[in-house]
Amino acid sequence: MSTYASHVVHGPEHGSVRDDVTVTPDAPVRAGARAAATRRQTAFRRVVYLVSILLMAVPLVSLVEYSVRFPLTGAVNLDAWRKIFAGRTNEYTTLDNLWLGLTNSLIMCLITVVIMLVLLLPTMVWVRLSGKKFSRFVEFVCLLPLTIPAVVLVVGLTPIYRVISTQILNSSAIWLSFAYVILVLPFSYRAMDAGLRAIDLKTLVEAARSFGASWLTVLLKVIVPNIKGALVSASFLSCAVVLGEFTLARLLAKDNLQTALFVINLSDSQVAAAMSFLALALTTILLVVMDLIMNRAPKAPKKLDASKTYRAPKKRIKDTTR
Amino acid sequence: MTTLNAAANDTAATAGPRGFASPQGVAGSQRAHTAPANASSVELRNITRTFGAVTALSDFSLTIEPGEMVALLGPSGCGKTTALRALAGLEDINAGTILIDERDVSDLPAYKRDMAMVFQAYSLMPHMTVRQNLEFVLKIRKISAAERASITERYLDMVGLSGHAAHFPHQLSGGQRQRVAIARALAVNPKVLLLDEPLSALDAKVRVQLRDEIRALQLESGITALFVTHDQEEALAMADRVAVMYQGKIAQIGAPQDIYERPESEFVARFIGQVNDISGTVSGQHATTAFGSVPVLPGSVTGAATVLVRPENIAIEPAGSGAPASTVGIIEQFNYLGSVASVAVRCGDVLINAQVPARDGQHLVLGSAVTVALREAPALAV
Repeated sequence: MSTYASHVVHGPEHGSVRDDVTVTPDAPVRAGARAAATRRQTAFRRVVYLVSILLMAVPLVSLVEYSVRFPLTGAVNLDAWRKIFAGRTNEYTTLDNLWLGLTNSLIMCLITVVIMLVLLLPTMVWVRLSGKKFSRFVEFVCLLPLTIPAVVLVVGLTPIYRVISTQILNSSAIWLSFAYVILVLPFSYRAMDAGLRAIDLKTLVEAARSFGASWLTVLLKVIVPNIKGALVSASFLSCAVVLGEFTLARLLAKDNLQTALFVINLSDSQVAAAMSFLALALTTILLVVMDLIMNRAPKAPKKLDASKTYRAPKKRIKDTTR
Repeated sequence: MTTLNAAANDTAATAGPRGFASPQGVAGSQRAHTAPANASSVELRNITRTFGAVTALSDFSLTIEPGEMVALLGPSGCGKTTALRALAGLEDINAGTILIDERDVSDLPAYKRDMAMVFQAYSLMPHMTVRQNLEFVLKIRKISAAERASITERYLDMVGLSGHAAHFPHQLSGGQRQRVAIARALAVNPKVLLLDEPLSALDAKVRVQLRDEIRALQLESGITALFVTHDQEEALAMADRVAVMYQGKIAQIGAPQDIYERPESEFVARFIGQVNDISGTVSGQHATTAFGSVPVLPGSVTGAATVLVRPENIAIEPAGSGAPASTVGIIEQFNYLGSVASVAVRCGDVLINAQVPARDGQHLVLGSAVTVALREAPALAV
């Protein structure tokens, strides 16, 4: 999530916020006050970091501890972890479902993110360019899933999935992605909206259009690179929703990570805990990799060494605008 | 300007060398226009554009000759930006025809109209360097990589920013950014260059400097240009012809000097520059006022009228003994403005604003009595 965080914290306003610290007009006093303020800020920051780390670490550590400590005796053993990699918890329960659920969930992440981006990005760009008229409506539609409980959603989705399973595609769990696109809309809408608000969309689009760029070029070469951060966070949020989804899958009788964990939990809760942790770690790695891929520092094109290309400006046009 | 010639040949190899207008005095002077061989003509014919109940353009017509720069000038909301955007294809029109080189482009989308636009601000792609910004638009126009590089270099050199090729827009000043935007617009060798208040976001000094540069570049390249501004000085200084717009229509179009010295309507007279309202009587070709008589412009009323006189057409002299009482006033305000001085004279219940060369104003003292006289310059009577 480093991208999203960096957008929030290290924005262009960063410097100006810091400058505001000084309030005393007297120079030496001001320097002292500034140092004190900086110290206070640093201390405060450390406390915030510590509390955040604790908040996140305690459940994770507990999860790992639960997976390796036998509840009754308190003895530490790695049986649960061994079982996962051996592929069998006991003679009755296999872990096939768990791996299937995990695979399904990861595939659904991918499909959901792709559909979401392809659907939402052009729509939102269009809505923002066409003015207020549609933006209220689209915002309403996108935020609607938040207000409808998944249990209610299933009532409407059941007949649709009956048709999808029997007549259009098949009964594979991955088609749940279509429903998940609806579930992730509120989150991805918010993230994308923030990104589009941050750029002067209208001028950029019109500039590119007036130079002869097609809509596809505008979208891919102008808009996407400028709201990459927002797209990444929209994708992250979508992945998080999909990987954590239980209700829809359970009620529509499809296997995903959460339903598989639920089933394992009934027979071997330690394995479920170990698997939860593993899935979490896997997801984290996945997201970090995604972040790295999508936010590579822009490659400086060759020949851009200023010292090599610099030539004195012509005399007629003096450069005094700096 | 061999650089530019070569660049133009790069992008329009078949068109042959361009016949450039000879670079004359850049700002303020009258220019006889020499149209370059391959410059495009533009015609907007009876364009109407409404936004709900608001009519932005009403039966708007404008012709731009090849290689000419026309300024659309008007108060905010007069439809000038809508007209520019309609020409660019960024705004739909309800009725009318847009012709470029006598070809109807009314139904063509923006990206097929072969134009380039310079916006008020922030139109450079923020994620691209200066060089990439130029190469991006050239790439859109399917120009080969080798040509792209050389054209980019030439145009950046032309606006004096070769040293900033590797910089991102946010690392440049406002003036530099607009220069890049102009280089980018010229680099694609468009049929028409559209400028939408390109100087409004800049501070005064840079604005004047860049104004002259834009005009020089436009004259050199010979590109037909339409320029929208609400700043009359900008319009008068830069354009071959100025179109003053009012309520979705052109109130008057003409050379800067005509617009200023021979306004055809009260709106134009009052919108461009300053005027004094002096009551008088019009008969025949002259208006007689308490301060003397002046020739009237076509379009003036006859009989009792208000004569609109420019401040510089009012002469002020220290009051002599023989002056008629009706022409004598008291200096109520004296503002020294460097090259000129603005003087407000109270004559009874009218306040006359005059502008005199500053060195002539040395003997004008606040509170002293002066005579006011009208110079022999034609004025509009309404």
